[in-house]
Amino acid sequence: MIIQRLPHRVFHAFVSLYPRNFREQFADEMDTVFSQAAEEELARGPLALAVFLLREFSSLPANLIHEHLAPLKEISPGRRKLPESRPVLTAAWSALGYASVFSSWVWAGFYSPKRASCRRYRPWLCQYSGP
Amino acid sequence: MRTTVTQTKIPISEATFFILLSLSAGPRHGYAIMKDVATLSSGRVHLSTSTLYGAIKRLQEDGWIQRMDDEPPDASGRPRKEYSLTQAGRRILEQEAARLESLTRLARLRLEETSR
Repeated sequence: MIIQRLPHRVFHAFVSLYPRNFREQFADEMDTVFSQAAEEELARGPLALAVFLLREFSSLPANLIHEHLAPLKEISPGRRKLPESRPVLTAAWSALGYASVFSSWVWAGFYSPKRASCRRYRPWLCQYSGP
Repeated sequence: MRTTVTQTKIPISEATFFILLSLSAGPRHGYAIMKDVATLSSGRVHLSTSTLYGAIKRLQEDGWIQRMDDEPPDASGRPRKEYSLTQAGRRILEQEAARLESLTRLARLRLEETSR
């Protein structure tokens, strides 16, 4: 039973990550089609089901990202406006920005154990024992 | 030289070609399209659910296919929507078929010439 339910739950979780506009139009249908296809492949045998699941889950992340990036790729102005994609993209850019700033601090020696700034901001990380 | 909108859309991808070809026989819902594409391509092209619906979304936006009015759920109560080919979609499919035909003809001519 878990073999039948788990893939569907994972698939549903992936589908819930699509842009809202896309989900409103196609999420229910995608769930239905996935269930129908999974049932048919299961009837053909576990190997057929494994091949089907591999095909589904290998293409899903790429298609998911593609749908989020689609508004950025649109050339003709004013044709697609999908503001619901912005929070995801903003979060991704912010994470990238924070990561790059943090790594540059590390590389610049901001958290170097022998610097006074280390003791000031992250005393538990440094070995500085000066005044 | 001016090019029309449809000319700039050609060539189309193989997946798009098979989806349009599947719908040229009449309206179908997603799962039927998926099965038909596998049959038409002799099992060579298997569309995943996410690929199929990504393509359906773009084809709808381009006006090549359209969603039929709300269909009643199937026997198990699952929602199902049917899609059909528009005039623009049929025109694109015909143009692509003609393009492929001319390429094939050209290739055959060249192969016959070189095999003599």
